[in-house]
Amino acid sequence: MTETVATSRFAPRSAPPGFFDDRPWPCRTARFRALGHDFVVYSQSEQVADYLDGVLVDLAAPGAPAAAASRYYVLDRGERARNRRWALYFGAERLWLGGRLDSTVGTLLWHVNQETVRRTDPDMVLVHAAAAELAGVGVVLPAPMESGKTTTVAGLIRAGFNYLTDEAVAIDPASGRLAPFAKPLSVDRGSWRVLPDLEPALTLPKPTQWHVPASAIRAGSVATAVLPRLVIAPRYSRDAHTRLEPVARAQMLVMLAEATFHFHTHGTRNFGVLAELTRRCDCYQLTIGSLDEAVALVTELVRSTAAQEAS
Amino acid sequence: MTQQPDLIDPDSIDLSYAIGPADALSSVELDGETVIYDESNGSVHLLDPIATIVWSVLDGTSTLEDICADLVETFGADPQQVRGDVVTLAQHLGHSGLLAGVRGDRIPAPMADAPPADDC
Repeated sequence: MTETVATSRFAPRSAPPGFFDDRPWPCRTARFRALGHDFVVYSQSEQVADYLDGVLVDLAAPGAPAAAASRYYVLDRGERARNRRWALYFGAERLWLGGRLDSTVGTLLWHVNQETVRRTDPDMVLVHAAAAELAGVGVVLPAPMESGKTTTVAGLIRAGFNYLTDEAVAIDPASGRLAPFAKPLSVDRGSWRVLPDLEPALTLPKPTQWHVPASAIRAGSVATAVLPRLVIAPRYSRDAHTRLEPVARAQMLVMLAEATFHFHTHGTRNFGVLAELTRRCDCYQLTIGSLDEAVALVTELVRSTAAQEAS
Repeated sequence: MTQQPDLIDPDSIDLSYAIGPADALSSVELDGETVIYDESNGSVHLLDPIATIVWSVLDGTSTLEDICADLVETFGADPQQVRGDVVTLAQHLGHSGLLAGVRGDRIPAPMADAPPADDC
């Protein structure tokens, strides 16, 4: 990992054949698998490879990368390249060229999400939501961006829940089960104050987000596939009284349809799967004024649901 | 070349019409409310409990007058009120493109894609 790395003067928008083969790639990450997206990252920077191996640890797949695995390349053009130092490629396509390493890695993680949704969409129904599991009860947490999905699911993991995702809930149309997409939680600066214990040991310079694997919050906290029993739409509201209120299933079905990636592409299938999920689940709105109180309410509801199932 | 049958204006629907659901609809009833997905344009519609009852008996053969008579008998409601509400609902369903042979002209926008997975 310490060999001298030749820097590149060029970072073409579309890499010509042989462009990546002609230079040394001393650092390669583990193989990762995010639902339908199988990938590996090559880098000239040990810092980048170590960071990605750390934050993507819950997506690590056993074995060597498959021949068909997608390849990302993080090209370091050296300090003299200044604000064009870091180039990120997905295959031959350049995704990013910039001077900040955290933005380069952020773009890579963003693209992993995009590509995961794109590659998984034909086989699974994908809903923009977080999800967690406790005592065999799957909980789907649909919400628009900036509504508190990630913060809520982080609080739930701390309280003993197992993690499915903070971004895209994958529903198997055949079984109705939720499949884990255990990407690192993307904790925005606004949530650092309420989740100070999540500050990662490993960060990049001047981070704008913390990328936190669930297993760093609690070891062994990644869930296996589970049937959903609760749909809870979280909504952070500063200084609000924290409360759980029932929501009509039909209303929640409309909300889930609106939150589904590419809903219309497989509209009839997606509608049927979401209708079945909604029929099986109790549905609530969670207004969050205090994260601890919200987590306590959800935990109590899940335990009560699990007890009902058991009896 | 097949001739497209003339579609009727939703506002012309009255008690004499026998109307039924359009093709390409999927619907589910959940706790007395109905959600309808229209595959032809990607729109999703939510019907309240009263609309759900009316929707469930629109079969394309019974006139709205017949349906109103059944509703009045079943629920003991005011006949005049029921007739007015049922015609208004039928016209609304027609405007929304949910009735066969009726020209939908206020169809809600199709389900937008969820925002891109971009919170990294």
